[in-house]
Amino acid sequence: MSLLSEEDLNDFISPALACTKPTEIKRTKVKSNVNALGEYEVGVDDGEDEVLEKVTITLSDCLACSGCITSSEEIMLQQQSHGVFLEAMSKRDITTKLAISISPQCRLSMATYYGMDISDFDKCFANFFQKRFDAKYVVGTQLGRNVSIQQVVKKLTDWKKSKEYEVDSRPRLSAADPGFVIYTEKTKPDLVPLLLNVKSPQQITGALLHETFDKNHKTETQPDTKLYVLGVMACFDKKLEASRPDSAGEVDCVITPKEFVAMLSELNEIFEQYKSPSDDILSEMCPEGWDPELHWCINHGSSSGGFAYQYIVSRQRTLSSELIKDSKIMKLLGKNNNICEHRLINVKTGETIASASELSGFRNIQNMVRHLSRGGPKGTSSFPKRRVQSLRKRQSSTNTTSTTTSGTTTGRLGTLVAQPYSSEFIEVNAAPGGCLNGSGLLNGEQSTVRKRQFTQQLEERFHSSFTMVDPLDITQWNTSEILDSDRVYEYTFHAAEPQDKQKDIVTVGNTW
Amino acid sequence: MSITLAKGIKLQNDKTWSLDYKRTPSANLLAVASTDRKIKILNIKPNGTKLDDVLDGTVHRKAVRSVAWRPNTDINTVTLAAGSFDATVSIWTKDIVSHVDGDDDEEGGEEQDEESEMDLLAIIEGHENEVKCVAWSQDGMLLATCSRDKSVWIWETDEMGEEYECVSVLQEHSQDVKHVVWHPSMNLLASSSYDDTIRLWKEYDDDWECVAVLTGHEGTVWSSDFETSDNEQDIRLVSVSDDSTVRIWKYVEEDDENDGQQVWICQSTLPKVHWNQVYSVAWSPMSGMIATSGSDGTLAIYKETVKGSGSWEVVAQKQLCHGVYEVNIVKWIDVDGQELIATGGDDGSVNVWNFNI
Repeated sequence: MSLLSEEDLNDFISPALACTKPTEIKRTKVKSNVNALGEYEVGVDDGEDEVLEKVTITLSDCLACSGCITSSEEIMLQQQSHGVFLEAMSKRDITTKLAISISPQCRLSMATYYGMDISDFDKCFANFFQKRFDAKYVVGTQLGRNVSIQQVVKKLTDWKKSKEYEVDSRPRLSAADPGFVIYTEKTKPDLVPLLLNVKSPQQITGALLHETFDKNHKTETQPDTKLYVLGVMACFDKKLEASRPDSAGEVDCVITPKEFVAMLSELNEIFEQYKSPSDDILSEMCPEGWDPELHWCINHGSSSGGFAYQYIVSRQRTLSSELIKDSKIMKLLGKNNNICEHRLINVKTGETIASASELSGFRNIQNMVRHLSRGGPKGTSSFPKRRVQSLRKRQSSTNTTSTTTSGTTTGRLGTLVAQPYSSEFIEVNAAPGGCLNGSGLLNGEQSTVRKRQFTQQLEERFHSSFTMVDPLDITQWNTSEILDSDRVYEYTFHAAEPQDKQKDIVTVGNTW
Repeated sequence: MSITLAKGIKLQNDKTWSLDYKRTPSANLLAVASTDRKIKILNIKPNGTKLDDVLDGTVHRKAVRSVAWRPNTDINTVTLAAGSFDATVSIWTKDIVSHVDGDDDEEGGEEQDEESEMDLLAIIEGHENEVKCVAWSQDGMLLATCSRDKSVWIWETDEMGEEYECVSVLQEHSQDVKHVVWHPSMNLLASSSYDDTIRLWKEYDDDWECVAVLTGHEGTVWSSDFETSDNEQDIRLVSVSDDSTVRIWKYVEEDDENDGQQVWICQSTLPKVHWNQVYSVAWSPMSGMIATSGSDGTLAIYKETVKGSGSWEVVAQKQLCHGVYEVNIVKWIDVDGQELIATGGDDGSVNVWNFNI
């Protein structure tokens, strides 16, 4: 039974036709039928059969593949399903404690599904894991997200002052969406240098949980005590992220809301029965030293993290007090609903002070990678410069004037249209619309039109469903005890070798 | 009613995969896609068909599978899109200098040794593997491409046809997509696939959506074509398949229960002519007749007994149009007011047929 069906997918990066994992076949030595004289002998079968090892594909193999990325259901489900979690729990010994982290998109999706408001859902969710699985910590991901945002802001700021920026000022790309990261590593390796190396809230939350746990529980008397971290996340790519070698020791297993529902059904549990009468459950499940409310909040910006927006906010805050008065953050829409730009402008001069964009969906990622590859500092261009003559100069504005059926016209007034490729930073999401359109969420809709409308509704409710915090203001939350301000959370990216394009994958005899 | 050969031209030893036709003030251009990677342009003239141009054969590294002239261009420009097994699409263009017909003959047909007159304008990358078909929308601003990677891409371009931006990636077919075709007067796209279905696509909200799935064929659908009609309520599509049938599908109405979805029915199956795979179909904009060709080498012409009725009869057929070779493509071509038929086959020929009612 697959929880991710073909109907769920549209404008997602789809699995490649051929899995490029080389099959390793281990054979026992085969006796040759040709004897020393070169004669062919017909022998009696003496029972020495070739033994071919069954080829299995694991998630980390999946990461090694150049083609298979987002939404590759069969492979993922084998390794990181709720079945794996249940098995790990059944084999768990007394020294292994359990922590659960859940993203805000999942909380909204599941609360809607169960017909509860968010605060009731959070308590019910925490209570369920405490009672049923003896969980030690149940957390939201905002603490991890705050750290992630801060590190993104710092890295971008440092980059802009660096020599590297003078050489290559192309926008940096967020690495918080593992689907996009893997796609870039494997199919667009020349763009890997553009990835801004900061870990996602999921991974940082896992790391913080371990840090807190080790600090408080790994004592001399209990040196072997361990923490198993389960993440409840909006899509299947988050499973891939948790399985990366550079993510070791952070998150052990990721399941989606769809799998959570399936799991409860398998366990014959009724979620609503765990509604907690007491308000204390959340603070009971809060890790030592963590602000009990902070990690359940969200911040302004996109519903997929708000990295681009928060960067622009931070830029505005660093302006002189004079300039701040004259500055304004504008949100510009792009040629479709999955592109927008946050632009910090000086209202007096009209000058752009800073810019960061959001971009999602495969069609937009396609155009983006093509555009960025072409503008490479080394002049490497995906468009081979053959004998192309520009027959006539294009007359006026380079913006194509197009009118979509929704009536938004992108006109020749270039300043009012999002220009993501001129931004300093692009928050990229593989799923069109970002995490609220994650393939693991419970939206129950079949047609892509309905799905888009449903996502739109969730989007409208998202910001009003949670308490807001300011991720840039450290004083608002006292975490100096638990956060090591020097620690950076980074991936180790592996850009694939430039593929030898001449090499053909063996096709299935298809020549027409 | 008979089909007679007007002109047979052996262009190359390799397969002729695709043809597309465009009338200009000074020439009747037939573009030819072939396994030999060199796109050829023929000028179809009543007094003699000539090889007008041969495009640079080094642009594509594999067979050119599909060619399509861009409609609605400036009167002095012709633009051609070509899709290749090397997963890319090339765009070519040429300024036509209109001059008296006589000058054409003087220039001669031996163009192979000279530089091609058409210039490479752009190369579009994106598909993961073999591109099977390219098709322009009626206003020339959108280009649809489809591939063995199971997807259909829609690209938007500017007036010049130089810059291409991906507008949508449609991944709803479950198998190789063989063919795409636009309605002659609306932005409605039909895609045919190895998954035995035809899907119809339209712009809705912010993106392109599949508004209908036509099921019924019992084998790969190789090609489809729309009936020429100005009435938005009167939309019909003909399709051909591995199952050797030719089917007519009719748009009924919008599906009120499902946003953006349309209701279609299979209006009829044409009288049986082919006994094997049917590879190509063309619905004449002039006469309303349908032509089909297939692996059996047969070219068949069908006429509707009463327009719109769904009742069709076979009015002519010709066997072995390219000898024992399969006929991959059939097109109706309007040569100076007279409607002829062009076919391309595995024998590397392009044949032009007279059809006498």
